[in-house]
Amino acid sequence: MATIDKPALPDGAFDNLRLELRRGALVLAVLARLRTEHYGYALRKALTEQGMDIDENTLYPLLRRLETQGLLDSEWREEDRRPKRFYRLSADGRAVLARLLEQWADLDASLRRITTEDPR
Amino acid sequence: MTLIDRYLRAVRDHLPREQQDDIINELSDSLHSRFEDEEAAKGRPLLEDEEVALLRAYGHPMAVAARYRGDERSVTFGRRLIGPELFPIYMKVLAVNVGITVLIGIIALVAGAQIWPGFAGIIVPLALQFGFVTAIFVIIDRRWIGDPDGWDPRTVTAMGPDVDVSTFDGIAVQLLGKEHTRTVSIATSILEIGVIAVVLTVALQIGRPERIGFMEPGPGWRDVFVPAIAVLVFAFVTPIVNLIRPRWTRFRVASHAAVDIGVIAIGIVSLMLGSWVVLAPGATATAEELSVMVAINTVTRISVAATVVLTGITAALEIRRFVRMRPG
Repeated sequence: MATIDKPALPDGAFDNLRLELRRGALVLAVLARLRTEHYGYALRKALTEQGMDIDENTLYPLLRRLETQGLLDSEWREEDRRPKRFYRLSADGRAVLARLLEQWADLDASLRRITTEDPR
Repeated sequence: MTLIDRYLRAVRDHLPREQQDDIINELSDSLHSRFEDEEAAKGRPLLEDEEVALLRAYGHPMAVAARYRGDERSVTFGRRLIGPELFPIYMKVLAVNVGITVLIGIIALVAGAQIWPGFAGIIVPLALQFGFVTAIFVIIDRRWIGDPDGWDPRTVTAMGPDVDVSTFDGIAVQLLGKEHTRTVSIATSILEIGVIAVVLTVALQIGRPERIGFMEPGPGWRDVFVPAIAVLVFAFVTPIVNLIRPRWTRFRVASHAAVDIGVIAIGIVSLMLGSWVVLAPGATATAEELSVMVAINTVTRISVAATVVLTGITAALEIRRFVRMRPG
């Protein structure tokens, strides 16, 4: 089985690069998942189950930022005897998500070409 | 109060006021849901150590709150020195220090004292303050905020008043500050370090000048200077110890009482020695200058006497507080 050598980077440098790479993808994943309504904790679990692990300290501030930008709507409702804040994609959010998904597809196609072409 | 409640109260203190309720309600639901999931997986209630581990994994309250502030400013020099969690407090402490130092410098200049040789004299204490405060915050960032094991959800504290006070205790709170019965908050220790650092720097800057115009320091100043610096250094050590050992609340109270007793002793000796400024040997002074010297000594005598009386009251309150605090 092929192994990948650990990159020779200072401590934490690789993590920073990985976080930069994930940042945009997380926004896309959150918007896409909120085509159906979720509250924060359930959303995190749903994302984790689909391979997109995200901690609460990243997710909740991100949800607030997206709501401030008008991409999400939210409302407080009681469920399981506790108040929970439910989020869902707004009309603007749907339009933005569609455009971002197109961008993502273009990026993905470009990266595939760049990373698979013969480097000669 | 459950560990979650304690944790959320600590987070709340560092959130923007207008969003506190909203964010805390959401975090509360998230933490309770997580605890319930863990309990369901284990088939039993969580042990305290397991709750502590979950909260530690969630992050230091200041780190959690910082994510909501959206303020990513930090101090970096190749690597992170002071992160966004502490940066706003760091700036506040620096502002307090700079403000006090500049104010003292301006008063000294306006009063025409020779103690500060021109405006440039302010720059050295400012540089010292900057170095002091920055070094302390770098240590705190590395030791507590950045290290998941560097804090304990069982001892993390909210800064809001949570102690029932009687009228007499109310007076004590006004004079001495909030009673820290369980732990001394990081913010309290930081503020004390900042203020004492300013006082210590200014005292060392002023020192014991050989001559101030036609005057020189008298015995009431000269002979108590070294003991006064020793008391200040001792007072400076106390909040540093409490940063490392926030649960040493009795030590804090005992240390404050000891500092008060030191201040009273120095004040009484200074009053007995008498003059704080005297005519320099070989100097001549006009009648007007001599009256200025007398006025300085009179004002200083009244100030020192008032300080001794007030410190006596605070010492009595600190000793009473120490006696009432149960060990441990």
